[in-house]
Amino acid sequence: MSGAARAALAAARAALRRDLAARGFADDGEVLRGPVKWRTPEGPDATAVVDITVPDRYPFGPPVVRLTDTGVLLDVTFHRELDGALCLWDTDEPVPDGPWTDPDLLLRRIVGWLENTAVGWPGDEDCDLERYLPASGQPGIVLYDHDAIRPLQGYLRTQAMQNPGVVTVLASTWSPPTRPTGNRAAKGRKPAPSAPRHLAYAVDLGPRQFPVRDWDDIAAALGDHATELRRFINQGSVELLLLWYRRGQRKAVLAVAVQPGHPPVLKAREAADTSLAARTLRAGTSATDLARQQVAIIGCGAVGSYVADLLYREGVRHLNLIDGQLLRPGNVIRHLAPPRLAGLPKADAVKQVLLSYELGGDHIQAKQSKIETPGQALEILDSSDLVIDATADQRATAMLCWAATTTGRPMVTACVQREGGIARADRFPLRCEEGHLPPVPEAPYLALVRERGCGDAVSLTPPSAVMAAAELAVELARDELTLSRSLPATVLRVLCPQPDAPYDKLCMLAARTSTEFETTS
Amino acid sequence: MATLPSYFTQALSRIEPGPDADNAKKSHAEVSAALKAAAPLARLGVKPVLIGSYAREVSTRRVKDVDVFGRLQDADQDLRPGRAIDLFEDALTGSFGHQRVERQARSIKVSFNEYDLSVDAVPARPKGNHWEIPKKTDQDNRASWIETNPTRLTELSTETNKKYTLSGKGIYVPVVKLVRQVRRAWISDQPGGLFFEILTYWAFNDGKPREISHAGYLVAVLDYIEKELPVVAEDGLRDPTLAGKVIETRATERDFSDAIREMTKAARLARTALAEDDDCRAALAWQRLLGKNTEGETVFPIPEYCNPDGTRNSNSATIKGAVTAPAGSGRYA
Repeated sequence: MSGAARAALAAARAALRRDLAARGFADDGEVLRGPVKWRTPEGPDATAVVDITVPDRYPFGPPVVRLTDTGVLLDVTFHRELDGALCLWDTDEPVPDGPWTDPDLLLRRIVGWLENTAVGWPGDEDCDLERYLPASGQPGIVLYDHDAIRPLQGYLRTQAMQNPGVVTVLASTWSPPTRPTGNRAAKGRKPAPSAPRHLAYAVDLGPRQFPVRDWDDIAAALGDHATELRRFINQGSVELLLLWYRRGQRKAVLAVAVQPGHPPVLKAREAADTSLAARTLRAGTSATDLARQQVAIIGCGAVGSYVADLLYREGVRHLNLIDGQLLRPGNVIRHLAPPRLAGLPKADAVKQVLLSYELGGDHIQAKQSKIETPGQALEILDSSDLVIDATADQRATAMLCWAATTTGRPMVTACVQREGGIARADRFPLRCEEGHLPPVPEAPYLALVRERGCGDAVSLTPPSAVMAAAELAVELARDELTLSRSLPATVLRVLCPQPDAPYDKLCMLAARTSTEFETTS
Repeated sequence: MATLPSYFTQALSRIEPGPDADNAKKSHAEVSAALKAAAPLARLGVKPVLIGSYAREVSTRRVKDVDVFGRLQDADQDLRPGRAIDLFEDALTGSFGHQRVERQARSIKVSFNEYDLSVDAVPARPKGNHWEIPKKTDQDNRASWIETNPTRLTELSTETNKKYTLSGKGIYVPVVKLVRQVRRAWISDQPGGLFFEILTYWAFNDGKPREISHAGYLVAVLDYIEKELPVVAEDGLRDPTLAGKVIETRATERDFSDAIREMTKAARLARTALAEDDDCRAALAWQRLLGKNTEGETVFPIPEYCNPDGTRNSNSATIKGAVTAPAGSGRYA
């Protein structure tokens, strides 16, 4: 660390210490201890005593504040770390403001924390109960399908997955055998029933007024079932608890690794929902609209494969993938499909990748074919809500552009030019007074490279340029499919400055009319 | 007011005994074991205990000598001081050899050259609730006993450290160390470290300071010493462990006169440092006050954001929060 940087950090820390000392905090060089006045719900003022330490992360993160004395009887529940430190700011608090560097804001935040704690954090919906238990330290994650598991309570089977530490809780219940009762039980004196190993136990704890901190908290919620569960935990059969709970209107699940003990030892595990809803939550706001649309992608090479991937991830489920070529090992470096799919038709390889996401509701057709006649172009446009041309085949593109203009059916054509220096997408048909950007003049000389043997010349376009072109195509496609229609007929991105204007600087060009365009640097 | 707490913590770490602490512990254990292994001393119920500044945890770098208080619990009034010292000498010579053992006026000194320190083993016999140790021979060359209670001083030190805290931790002991360091920096020899430790004890006991920083406590104690030193130079320094007794000192009238002059300057410098609003100027004053440790290292560090001359480093503008990311907030990646 440079001297100036170290000096600036030291000055920031010293400034906070000095400011807090001026507000009555004693400072032994490590811990600042001082009073914080706050108002109890009943009205009278109380004076808490807090210890503040200035961690290495400061001023990029807040000081560590711990309660030494609350001043009155106070049931500390939420917003507290395992080591007792108060959670005063969420980790996503805007850092530039650094509110904790202002001692008055810091103290006010502590007052707010005390006052909220005193009234039970009304309106608080933070579902982060795992922070109140020690972390298990195990690798991996606990997976569960919320939709399948949620109706089930009690003992559930689990399955260890291939990745270390990854466990899936299955929607497969197990019921303990009923123990004989009355005289039969006395005569038989059978041992307590045992259970299979690697079980999970799922239960709904309902609304939580305080975190789950130990076995007693769970036992209190389970009532009569606690004794049996504890027995199966101590037998080594139950290793995991899935605890559904609610905070305000929000629902969540706490996964807890349990180990035999008196009482059983609880450790928090990271858990994740594998349901379709959870896995498509991040697909974007247009996913529902896009799911109904039929999109044909002509050309499933570099650009087309990523167009298919992005559209599928964004919600398009009805895809018609068309490409005449096989996937060669040399294609893979800038293609969606992994090397193991080399040799398959490119359309099939893309389909396999998309299906591997298991997003359901798929209607993906893959066809090893080309657009070779105007009739085929008209047919594909007529049967699709949108066609995307990613062929880089002049004749196919010409037919599709003609067909789109003639029929008024939407089509987007995307490409990379100048060896990856420019990415471009054009939409057809043109709307009122629209025009496309003029064609990009071809570079005067480009060295042709070919794979060993015969075959097409290989473009030296890098993978990032391919993705840039796919992104432009998807933006135009989304704009058309969602009927937003706010984007121009051409979007062009200069990825690498070219010798000739207007491509001589990094920028985005958007067509306004056939003769005018906007430049965005 | 610049109290510079983090830098006082660093200053304290620079006067801590460091590896001497382990060496003192080992050498004390060896001497105690030798005393307990000697049959004549065992018959007198020998029960050695560590005393001195190291035992009270107020020693500063370097620890050159460690005191072992050889309590002879079953000794009666017939035991003569010379006989007690003889028994200690025999026991320690038997264990450590003549080369390492030196008889002194009222103790036996055992050298630990590998650690560059020595252990003074002092025989002591019971006297009511207290103890007696050999007194230096008088003019008639006759040895006698003198009352003392070193373990009580250890207790008082612990009690005072519990009673006075800073952020929940004892402040008396750190302040004694700081005062001992001020003495080392400003006074050539006498009065010694124990004398100033006792003065610090009385500063806490009489003045009952309640401060919020090391700096505040140090100024309070130095103020007390500035005021009281001329008085104790005349009347003697009360021994907190023995009512009506005063602390023995080898300081001459000239020593006291020099000490009064220097401590007046030191106390004034400390007040100036505490009143200073500017961290860098304050740090320079604290640095002058605390001088250097026995290894020649400056005790009080200058903050990273200051220049050695006490001016502020122009490159050390305080970071207020953090710089804004180029994209602003609401980012996702």
